[in-house]
Amino acid sequence: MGVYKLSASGGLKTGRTLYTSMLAGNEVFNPSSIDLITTNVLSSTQGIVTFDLSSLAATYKHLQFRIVGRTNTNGGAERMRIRINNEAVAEPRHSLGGDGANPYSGNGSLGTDSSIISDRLTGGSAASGEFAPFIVDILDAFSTTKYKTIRTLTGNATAYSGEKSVSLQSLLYTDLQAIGTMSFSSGNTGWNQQAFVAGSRFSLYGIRG
Amino acid sequence: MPTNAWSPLANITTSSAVSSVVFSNINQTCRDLILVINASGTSASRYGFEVLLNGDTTQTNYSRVRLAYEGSLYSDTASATIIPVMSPEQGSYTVHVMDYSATDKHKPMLLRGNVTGVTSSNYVYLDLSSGRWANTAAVTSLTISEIGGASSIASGSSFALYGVKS
Repeated sequence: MGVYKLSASGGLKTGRTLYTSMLAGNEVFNPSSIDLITTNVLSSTQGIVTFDLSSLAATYKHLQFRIVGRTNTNGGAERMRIRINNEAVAEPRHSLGGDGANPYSGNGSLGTDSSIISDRLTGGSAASGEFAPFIVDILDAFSTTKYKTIRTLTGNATAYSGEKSVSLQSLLYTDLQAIGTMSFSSGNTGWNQQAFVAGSRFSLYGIRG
Repeated sequence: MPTNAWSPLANITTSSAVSSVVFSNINQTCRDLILVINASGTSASRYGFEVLLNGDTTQTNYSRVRLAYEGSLYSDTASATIIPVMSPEQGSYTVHVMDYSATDKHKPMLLRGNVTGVTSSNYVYLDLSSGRWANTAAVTSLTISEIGGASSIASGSSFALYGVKS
């Protein structure tokens, strides 16, 4: 089927354009399935980075954070910690990784002050320019009938001796309420012990269901 | 307003055996790159293929830590870039190059992939790697190249490059 575009100038024959497609010269509208929701690139040192997710439930099924982070610790690396709905609770966690010398695996909760450790952020003593990558997936983030699974893929190919890592980690948020906030901090033994430095980047993506 | 996050940037499928695949003049409007590899090698054995940024072949400019399985699980590290491994059997890899267009950071990389070893247990390989290119320059090209000249990328291998906006 064709379509005419009519112009205000000229007659019916001279002021019109014939298209063989109903798109009439417009680009195809292809709604995306993965949307960029927001990005936060820190302009100064910040201890906790929090995202309010409550407005996303109607549109998205899964979420992903893509993070490039570094902390101001005096060492070569620091653990990333994640809290859900600002709850300081112990949740089940499993990890599989390597430190450049040995593989490791583990399970168990992490005490009462954080939800998940996601090894390992680059520390302040690492070479300038080094940042660690994190990809954090939250599955069925807004379900009220399921526990929520959070999984991370992360690594730290730092030149700093003894702090290399690559790992897969998973967390089960054992609560049926939807995820309303996600917070990130750093600390080897507890929540918000160190801070993210300027340039650390947190990008949030929504995946439609 | 949310924007479409993933953009296909380029797609290469080899029509003959080649020693390398190059993505050049990479669009700089995205934040991360995702390279999806589904490829095999021409050699009867498994060989590593290095991922080079901006054509930099100086391996000491790279750092890598790896968790791998090939009959047993191990972890190692090297002053070298990440290496998808190819065999006559199809291998699948996803490579993330984070903040590739930034000019204030080294370039962190994550790789996840495997060869299943259906036709031979010698091909079994599972790899989870983190890498870093110690350079703050924006990444404008990616090269996937054989190491040592012992194998080539087989015909029909596919390499798809996506940009992730932020």
